[in-house]
Amino acid sequence: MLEHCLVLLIAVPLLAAFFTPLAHKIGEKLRNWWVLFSLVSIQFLVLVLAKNVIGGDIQVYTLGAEFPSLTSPAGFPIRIILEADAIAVFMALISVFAALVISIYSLRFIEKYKSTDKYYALLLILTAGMLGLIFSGDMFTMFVFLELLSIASCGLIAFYVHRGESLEAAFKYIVISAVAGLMILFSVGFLYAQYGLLNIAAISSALEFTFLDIVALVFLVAGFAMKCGAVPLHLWVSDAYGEAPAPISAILVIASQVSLYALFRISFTLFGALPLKEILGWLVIIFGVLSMFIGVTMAILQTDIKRLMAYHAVSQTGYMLLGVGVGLAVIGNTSALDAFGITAMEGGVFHIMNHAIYQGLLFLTAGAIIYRTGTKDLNKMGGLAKAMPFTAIFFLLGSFAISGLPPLNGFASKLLIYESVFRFSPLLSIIAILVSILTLASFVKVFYLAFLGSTPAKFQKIKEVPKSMGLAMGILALFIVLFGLFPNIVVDGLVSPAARALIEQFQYINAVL
Amino acid sequence: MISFPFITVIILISMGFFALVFKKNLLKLVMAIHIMASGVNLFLITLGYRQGGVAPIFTNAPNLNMVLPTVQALTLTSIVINIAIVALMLSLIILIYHHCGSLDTRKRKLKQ
Amino acid sequence: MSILTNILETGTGFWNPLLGLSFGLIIILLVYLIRSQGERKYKEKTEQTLPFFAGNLPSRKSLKIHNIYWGFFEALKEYYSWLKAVHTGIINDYIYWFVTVLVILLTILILFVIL
Repeated sequence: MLEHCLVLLIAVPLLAAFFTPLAHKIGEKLRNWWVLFSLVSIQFLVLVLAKNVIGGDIQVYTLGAEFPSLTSPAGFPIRIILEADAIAVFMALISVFAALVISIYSLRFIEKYKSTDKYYALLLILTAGMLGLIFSGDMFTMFVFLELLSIASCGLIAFYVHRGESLEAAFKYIVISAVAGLMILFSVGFLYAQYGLLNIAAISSALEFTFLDIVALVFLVAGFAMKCGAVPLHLWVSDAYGEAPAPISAILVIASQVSLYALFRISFTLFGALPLKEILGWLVIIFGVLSMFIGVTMAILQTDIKRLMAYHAVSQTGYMLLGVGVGLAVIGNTSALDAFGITAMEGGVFHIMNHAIYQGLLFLTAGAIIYRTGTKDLNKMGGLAKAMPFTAIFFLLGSFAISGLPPLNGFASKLLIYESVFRFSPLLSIIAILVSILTLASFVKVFYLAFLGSTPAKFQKIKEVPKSMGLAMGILALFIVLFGLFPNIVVDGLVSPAARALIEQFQYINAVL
Repeated sequence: MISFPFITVIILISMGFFALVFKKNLLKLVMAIHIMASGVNLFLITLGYRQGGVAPIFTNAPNLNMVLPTVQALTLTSIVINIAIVALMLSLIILIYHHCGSLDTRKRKLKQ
Repeated sequence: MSILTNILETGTGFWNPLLGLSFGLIIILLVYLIRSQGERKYKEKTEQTLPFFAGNLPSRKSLKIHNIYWGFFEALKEYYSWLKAVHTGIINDYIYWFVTVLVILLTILILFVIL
């Protein structure tokens, strides 16, 4: 079973997605059990894959060959190849875990709306799209799964069809995604025109860095940077995350991080042998610093709780770009790489996982507030801590984690980024610390407005959230605390192999050729 | 000397971007996306052309100079994906018109 | 620069989460013991539980908690006016920024590669 894990990870969510409306016709409970069962089995498959890949060898799967590892029968790769190395498995673990927690949360959150079967089907297609993008070994498969991801997300953002704002946000999202996807396809065409190859490993070993290759790199970087929400291409993020249902905002964060992973795959593996990597590294660093600062300064202004968290998602994406950008900028310089480059990349990659967890928790608590009070406006809420104590505690944990306070997980990854970026350039580290302080400031304001203070008259009788929603938030909060108290287990076991897999791209290439 | 199809590709993609940046009607944005998609599809197909080549469908080919079939497969996939995106955009426009009463990008209900 | 980075390696700090948690539990126990020395018999919802205002009561309507960062926003007024002008919400501006970034990246990368 291990050798077919990769293709099963794409096939099982798709199959489950298409059977969900069928299960819904029979009964709602059957549909809930079907969705949870399929997500648990996908989680099991990812864990089996993770145990083997992190142990050492990269898993490859050729679709349509006689046996799965027959990637290059004639010396060059043919057919569609799926490849899983440590960073891909890291992203897959995050995606599937988040999809599972979010579907547990959605069991009660979404039940009073009409087309819930389409919601779960689209959620499973979104998971399939994310897993396909993570594991794809060639550029065109990446494009196809990126578009699959975008179309499924657009359907989910427009879930509240009775409100005009969600439709407008979904329209903006799909226009942005269509433009980004077309630019990516355009650059895939450039690369195919030059080398006649679509496979990432094959192109990266045949790359000659002509003028057209640099143009292809620019289109790819711009397209994927737009999809992951880097400033100044971040304007759609607040609309899309703010108008989607709360659990969907949480999984859209992970969809953006998968686009970030695709950006890293291109910078580190596809253009691995690019001379003068410092320029690309500094571009990523500039994207990161702009995202951090502009994200958080826009976030302090907001009075809508979901838009505020969306701008914070932009800001935290800046941290990941900064960390990995510093690693990219010093990758040619071995002494600097050993001194702080690897640590910066570990910080950036660890931040991806931490951000998925605490931003997911924050969006789910915002969803809990909206579920019980029916309003998103912070000025209308107040004094909810007495009625919803667990939600308040989870929100507090999430805000402390996002601001990087010890002993929670945000502190662990942010400390890695601060220390290594300080050795690279002290000014960037100081900006990062200032952004953390502003993050804490904005969440203090939100906590006071939403949970403390006096309760308005219409919110006197609200109750705590249902148990399934509380369970989902509790799982995420537990992981926040665990990863904060014992970060070395996670860093040594998951993050460090992932960061090394990005840097040592020859292993990726040798697995295919 | 860049051949004629590539110039058409550049014109189509620039037309698409021009309309996306400067046109304010939502339907024109959908048309712009479709034009840009047509440009990219034309680019992909043109990459495969070989002078004097035949279609890659023969078993006993008259000559072995065939146009590349891989890009045609990529283009078919891209056409299908773009149909899905355009259909989704058009259905969203129907509902947006129903809710907002206007197809202007400047008249939006979402407050920033 | 090396002086600055030497600060990072002075070796201050000791990270043992279990020890930290046990200290935290001891402190919580101490806080509970001190709190239990308080007055147990008091009447709820009378004047005994309300805060004592020595001066004039503040009017609750004028100032919202949202205005807590007024000084910060005033100081960065020009930056915020530029920032709010950029965030229009019109889809055409989103694609305008994409084309701008594309042009800037193309010029930077092509210039650096040619030179």
